Amino acid sequence: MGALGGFAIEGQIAGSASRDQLTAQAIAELGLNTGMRVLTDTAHSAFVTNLETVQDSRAQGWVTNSGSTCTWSGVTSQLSDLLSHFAPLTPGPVPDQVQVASPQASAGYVRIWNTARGPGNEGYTWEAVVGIASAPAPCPSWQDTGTARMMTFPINTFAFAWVWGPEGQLVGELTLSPPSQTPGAILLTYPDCPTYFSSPACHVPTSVQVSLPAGTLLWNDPNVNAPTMP
Amino acid sequence: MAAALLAVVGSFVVIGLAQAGQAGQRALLAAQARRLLQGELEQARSGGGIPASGQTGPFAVTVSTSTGSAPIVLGGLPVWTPDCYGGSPCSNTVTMSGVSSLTYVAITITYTADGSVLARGTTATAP
Repeated sequence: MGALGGFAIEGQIAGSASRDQLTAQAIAELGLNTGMRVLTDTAHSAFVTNLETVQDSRAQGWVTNSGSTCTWSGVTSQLSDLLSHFAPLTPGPVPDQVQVASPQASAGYVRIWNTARGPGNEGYTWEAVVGIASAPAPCPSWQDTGTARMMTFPINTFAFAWVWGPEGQLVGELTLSPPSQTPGAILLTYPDCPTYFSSPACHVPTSVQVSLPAGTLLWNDPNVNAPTMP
Repeated sequence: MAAALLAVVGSFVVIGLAQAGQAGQRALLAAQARRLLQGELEQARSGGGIPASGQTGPFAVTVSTSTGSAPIVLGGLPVWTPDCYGGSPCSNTVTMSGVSSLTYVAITITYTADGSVLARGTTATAP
């Protein structure tokens, strides 16, 4: 996962923010960065460890929908199966109370919150929802190079962060949306054993990689609801 | 009598204009301070490094840092226990320890001439 760097908040002119907006955005960024850190670390530890047990036959099952004919419903269904059985994240689509329209078809996510100090040393509360979801393209694929077999399953990340002021009032929301052209991926690599050689080691991954894409930031996304303050 | 009255009214107008000028100057300074703060926060959160304390024009920039504290998970841990289709080991651990490697950055912009705080904000370094 790269840094969130290089992306300004969409639709904003530098220096135009009011004090309250600046406070809310900075704390929302704090929440997003914290959430993405938790998601990345979890993906690179427990999730990878769990994926190291995936039998090749099951991995092939996840890409039966692959190729130019793959369908969104097929891909999301297969990612849903993958995440719910192997990722220590809450399975299911993004809750309706978070996203108003076009909910992610499948996802695994975690919701975290904390407090931060703002102007005047006043206490603000933030909540972040971060997770993994289907990527619209490319299709999942299975590749046999003659020496190795590889499953590539494109994935995206998503994140939302809300900030509440000292009086409990919502002061803003920040959405992290993935760039659709450059998704991340779950990559499982298996040995390519000859047919006369049958070993259990032939059917579990020799390598597992989970990469999460960076994203762009959008302030007060109209498609996002605010949950109740934690 | 009329001249005296005119002089008094005139002095109020002058004072009013001076106060309005000061208020306008103050608002301009505050806007400049917020613009400076926004740039400093953006640098910290986007991976550009932690800004240094120092003097920038009429402003003193004070940067303080702290270690990120583990957030609270809504609903508690574990959030989900995967079964790995019977594979073993199968972990349900959400890794929170990495948050401590983030640096939480608090930045205060002070107007050097009178020491007043014009802008203050906090964020975290990039993940």
